[in-house]
Amino acid sequence: MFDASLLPGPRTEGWRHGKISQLADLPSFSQHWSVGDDLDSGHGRLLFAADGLRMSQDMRSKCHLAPKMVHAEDVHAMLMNNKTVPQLDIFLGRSDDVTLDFSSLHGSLPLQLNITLEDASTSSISFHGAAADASLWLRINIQIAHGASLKFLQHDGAASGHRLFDMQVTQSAQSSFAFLSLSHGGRYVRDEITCRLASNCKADLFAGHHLQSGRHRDLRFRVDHLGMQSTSNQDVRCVVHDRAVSGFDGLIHVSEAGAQTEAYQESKVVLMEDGALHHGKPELEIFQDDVVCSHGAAIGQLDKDALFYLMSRGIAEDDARDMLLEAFFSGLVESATPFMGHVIPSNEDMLHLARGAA
Amino acid sequence: MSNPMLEVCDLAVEIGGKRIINGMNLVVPAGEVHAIMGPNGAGKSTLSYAMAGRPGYDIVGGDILLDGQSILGLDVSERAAAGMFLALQYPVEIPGVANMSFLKTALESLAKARGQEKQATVEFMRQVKAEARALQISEDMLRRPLNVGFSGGEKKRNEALQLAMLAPKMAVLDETDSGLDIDALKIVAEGVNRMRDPARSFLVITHYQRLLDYIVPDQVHVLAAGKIVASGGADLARELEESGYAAYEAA
Repeated sequence: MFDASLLPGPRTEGWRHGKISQLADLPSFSQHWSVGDDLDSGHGRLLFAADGLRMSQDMRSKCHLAPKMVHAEDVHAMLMNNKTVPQLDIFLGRSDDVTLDFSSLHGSLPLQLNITLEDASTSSISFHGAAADASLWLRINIQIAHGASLKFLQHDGAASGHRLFDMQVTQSAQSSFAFLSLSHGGRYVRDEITCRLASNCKADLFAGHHLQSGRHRDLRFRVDHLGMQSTSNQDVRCVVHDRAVSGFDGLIHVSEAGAQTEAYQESKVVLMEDGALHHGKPELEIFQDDVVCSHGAAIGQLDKDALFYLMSRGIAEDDARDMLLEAFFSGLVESATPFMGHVIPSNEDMLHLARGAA
Repeated sequence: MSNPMLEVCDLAVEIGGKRIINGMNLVVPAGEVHAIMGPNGAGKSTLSYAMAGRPGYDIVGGDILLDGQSILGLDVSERAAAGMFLALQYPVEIPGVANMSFLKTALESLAKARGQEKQATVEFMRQVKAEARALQISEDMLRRPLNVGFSGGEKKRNEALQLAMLAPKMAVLDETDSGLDIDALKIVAEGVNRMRDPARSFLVITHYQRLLDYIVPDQVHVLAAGKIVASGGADLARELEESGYAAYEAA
């Protein structure tokens, strides 16, 4: 029996015991969950639903589906302990652009993806979140080979239902990983991204969320510097409204072998109303003297001087707030763009994020 | 005398329960430039923020009329739509909002609030470039985030650009001369003088007479302890420059 109290994250009783019950009831793998007909058009596309998967024809040779028993190792796995889930292996080549599309998912889906990049390849993955009535348990293991590069965009077009998203990225020497996440949160959303860096690696992690009233998102970045001369950067921006619950745990871990590491972390949070709640936990664990590391965390309200200034030029209050929030998130995307290249959200997506999904 | 553009009637303003403006009366007729001078703490900036409707500046007595209509029931943006403009002493830096798109959004918001057609983009571009050129504002400054990294002079020229583009009925310039060198002061003053019009009034708030050499006022008022304690012509500013405010503060 799953014990909800073991699940970390925003630590209010309502969230812990009430909101994740649907996840605790996720079913075992069904033999009927299978690869369906090819999609009629498109390249690099995988479309996930509660009863199976469809993919564009070009992905057939790159994917392999098999069930797998999950054993409890951590809080994510506990939910699925001793249950069998679909496991999809994906092999990416020289320069693949892949879309993992969950936007048509309704109902429950537990899933594990194992993604492997070959040496010196350059690939991108766009993840589209599931619908508000979906419960998704998703573990993604990514192996980035020597000298390879991966860009990963996690994008929710609207508020999600329940989601546990656990991505473990293992980087071989001289590889790079860039991650940008834009989310509206959901009923219960917990996203964890862990990067393990060998020597001379780069990991650049960017995330923003705009939580309307009653929404939730708990975000955790962990970067382990396990080899020499690796660099990492974490940049997080959150906007939280009344009765929404936000969390960011960011950890930079530098092992004894991580000499000449450079690692930075920054989070900025805007609480829009009195009842907004954010849990921030910036952490550094450093076991090596020869490093450059820093972290900063700021929590405040929307800049009242800026709001007054815009309104004094005739811009109505709601529009002025939208302008300031758009600017807040635009700063994040501008910072991410040099690392994400073409894998960035559209201007319309940014406007949507600034205004907050209904 | 022309019709009054601004009437401040027995105004009382508090900040956090402390009375700053205390029974102030002032009339600025249409087409005139009036200056308010006064020592530190007299209430000059409080008056300007109270007129613009800034939250936290509580009007506890009296009224403010703009072109004959009370504006106390209007919020900040509605006062701007009614024709009020405040050039700030310290313009705010807003990263992520481009100067040009901010100006366009402001103009479109004012047009919408007034039930007017919004200006065509081509016409907007032509006008903003012409006004910017007159104020020696580069196209690079127009593309940059609003006031971010601008020098003191650039910020004040940018305020003058907004004044020119938004063309208000009543412009309040709060210590526009602070932080300006003499060349920048002349450029900003010329920008203001170009905007002088029988249908537009100015209230120029300053510590020093220097600004009034370039923006010559029709009337000068001395504000001390939250009240107008003396009024006169442009000569009054020169007298203040020589004698200081001590006599008025004592009064």
